Amino acid sequence: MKNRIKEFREIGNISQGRLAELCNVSRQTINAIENNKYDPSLQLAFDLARNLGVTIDELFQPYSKE
Amino acid sequence: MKKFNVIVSSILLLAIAGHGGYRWVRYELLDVSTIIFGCIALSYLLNSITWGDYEGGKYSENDELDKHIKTQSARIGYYALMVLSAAVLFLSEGVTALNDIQNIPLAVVVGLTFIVAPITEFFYSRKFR
Repeated sequence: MKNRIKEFREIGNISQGRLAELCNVSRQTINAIENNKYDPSLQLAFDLARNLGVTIDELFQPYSKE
Repeated sequence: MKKFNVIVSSILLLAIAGHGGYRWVRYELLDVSTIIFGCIALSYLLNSITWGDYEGGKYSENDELDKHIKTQSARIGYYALMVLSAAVLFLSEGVTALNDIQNIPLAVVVGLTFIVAPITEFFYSRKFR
């Protein structure tokens, strides 16, 4: 999935480390998701959206199947 | 803690390899205990380097990416073991014709690598039906 985590992190002035703390995962996990190396579970996607103050729809977009 | 585990695991591996190497050079003996304990020590070292814990992943149980890495590694590791066990069988026997193989227990182990995953999947899938 494509995501806008970095964009919303910068708007909220939240570091990867702080977001990782808020979501109870490692900073490496946030970095991997941000760089599209790993798709998060539904629970973590909800946690990320909640902690960034946005909706899941705003945060994640599926890749086009075309 | 990670550094400590890496150092202790390295010393353990060096001690076992050194002892095994000495017996190999001095008496031309390769002990099975050296192979098994050497592999255990190597696994401790690799776990210490990767996870910071010699048992592997003890401090990463809550992290989703670590769980993903462990799950994927287990799947890849299974297929690697399948290939390696077949390679050991053919290399140790020195033949490529299946019916010329004399080491039946090892042949059984290679056969088991083909059926362990399907059997496990069969029983585990029952849980969801």
